Amino acid sequence: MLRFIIWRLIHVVPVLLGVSFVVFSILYLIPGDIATTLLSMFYTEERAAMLREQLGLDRPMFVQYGRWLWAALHGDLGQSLMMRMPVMTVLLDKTGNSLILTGASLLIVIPVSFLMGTASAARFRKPFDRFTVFFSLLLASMPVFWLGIALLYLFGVRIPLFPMSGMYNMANPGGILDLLHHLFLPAVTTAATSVAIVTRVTRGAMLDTLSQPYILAARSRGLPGSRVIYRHGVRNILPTFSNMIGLQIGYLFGSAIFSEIIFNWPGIGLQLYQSILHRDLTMVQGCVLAVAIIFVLGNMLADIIVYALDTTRK
Amino acid sequence: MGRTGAEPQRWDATSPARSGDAVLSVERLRTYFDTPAGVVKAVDDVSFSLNRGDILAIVGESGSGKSVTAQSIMKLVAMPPGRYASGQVVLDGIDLLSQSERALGAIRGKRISMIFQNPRAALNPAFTVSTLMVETLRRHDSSLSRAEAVKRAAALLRAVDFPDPERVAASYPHQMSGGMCQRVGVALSMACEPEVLIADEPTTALDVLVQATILLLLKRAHAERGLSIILITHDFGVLRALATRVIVMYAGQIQEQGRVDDVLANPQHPYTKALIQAVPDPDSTDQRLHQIEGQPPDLLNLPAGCSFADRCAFVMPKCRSERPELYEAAAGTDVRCHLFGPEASAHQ
Repeated sequence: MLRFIIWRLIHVVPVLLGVSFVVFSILYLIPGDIATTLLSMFYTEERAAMLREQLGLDRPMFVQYGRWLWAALHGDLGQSLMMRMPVMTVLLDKTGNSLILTGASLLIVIPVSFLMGTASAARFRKPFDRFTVFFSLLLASMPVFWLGIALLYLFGVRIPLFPMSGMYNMANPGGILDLLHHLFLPAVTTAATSVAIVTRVTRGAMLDTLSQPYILAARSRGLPGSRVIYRHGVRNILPTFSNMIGLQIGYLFGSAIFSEIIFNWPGIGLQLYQSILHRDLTMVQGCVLAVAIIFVLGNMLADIIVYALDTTRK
Repeated sequence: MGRTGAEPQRWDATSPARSGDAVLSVERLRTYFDTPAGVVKAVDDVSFSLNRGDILAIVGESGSGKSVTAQSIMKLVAMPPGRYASGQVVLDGIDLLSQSERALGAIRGKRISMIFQNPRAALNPAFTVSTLMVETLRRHDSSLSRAEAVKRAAALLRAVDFPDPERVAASYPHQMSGGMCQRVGVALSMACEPEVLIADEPTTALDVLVQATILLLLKRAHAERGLSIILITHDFGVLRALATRVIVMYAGQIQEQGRVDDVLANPQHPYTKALIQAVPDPDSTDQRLHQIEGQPPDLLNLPAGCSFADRCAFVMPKCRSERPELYEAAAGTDVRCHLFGPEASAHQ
């Protein structure tokens, strides 16, 4: 087990290196000149050339990448062009907020999709199963930005149960309860699509498991239906389920970008959106890198859990 | 009829009298499946009884309804799409088909148990042998402590000839060979000392040597404990070696039933004759293997008359229009064929 964890950790290194290179080169390759952007109205040929030399923009790409990577490894992702602050400082702050939102969505996705998926498979083609299939199709068909706005309108404007935006009540910050109150709508919005997908996959995996001979064999030994389903059946979908959830961590982070913008949640998504609008390239770079790293780590975590659950590898 | 000369090596069962007391009787069982294409009559009006201490074989080709019959007996057919259109399965005076799932839970594995065709697939890959055995033992005896159950499991594993029961108990199915898995399957089915065992093609997935050890285990359980067995098979060697009575199924119906000796030596139904002829005979000088021409009928669209009529060498006009009943063709042998109907015998 420990060996697998170490082995898996080692494998993260080349993946992250690749990610960092892709993130760096995308921004290197996109049209537009940083020096021009920075100088804006003060632009002259000489000033631009000087600034390029100063920032090392005249060096070959790989040299630039190497310098950027070396600095990044030391926690320095450069200055935000817009905020005149170290990118790292902003990222650490925003990543925490995004993790709160993603974590809350995950806490919705895991129990809801697990229970609905397994219970509907156990009631194959019965009313609850039909409802689940319909409901998950409905959820999956609603884009995050549409659902977010709809929920905001319904429960923020028409029936003002929840606050419209932000993480805390600015006038009267109320600690954890205030946070949860603000968290509810964005978390539900972020979770919706994942709930639909994971429910469907869980249901499918469970139906497949329940049609296996060992389930028939368990019934033939007199085990009650509930035990057959929730012990003999569920135990065999746990690896599939964990894998799905691992993938969803990255996916939720992606959905969170939309809900952060709609609900004005001060996370990486909102930051990314604003940085793109302001052509704050170093910040965009930092945000994309942070999202990618979280995606990779989420998958690593899922792999380790799947390994721990898989009896055939012991 | 090449095989009649070979002396069958059969277990000497304790006088399987035809009039003996039935431990299990199946009456007018109809198991249908509702599919989008229509109703599949997988088991269509099957009646038979299993006498105490008897080994009854059900033979037939794939799709003849023998496995569904086996699963129907324990009410294990998935509903939907399956349903029991009619019938009773009576075990010691109780009709199993009318029992609730809860009541059946106390009977399955305890009084009637089953072993399966694919031994590894029948064991849950997520659990060790010990977990499965302890779970089954304690399911039917709640007073049994975990430690006692573990001990009992070891004894059961030793009874199926594992020299190292502790090691096997700690194994997962994928760590064992197919034969080992099936021995575990036998041990699991014997765990609560049932009266009736249903063995659904227990040796089909195994190589010949391992087949012999599994058959030996079944014989032993039969001899030592007076276990009554329903043996589903399509292997005439297995049939010869083990069974005392045989039922030949085709298209969801019993075509012939009788003592194994009689049916093998002197098959009455044209289908049984063709089936036995199709068994390759090593002593035969024939170069060609015999086969039954044509295909089994579509269970969605059974013919109005005899379901074997299209492939039968003795087909008569009546066979196309009228479905035959089971008629007594010889002492102790019933046959579903117009050749043995009341009119036919009147002509003779």
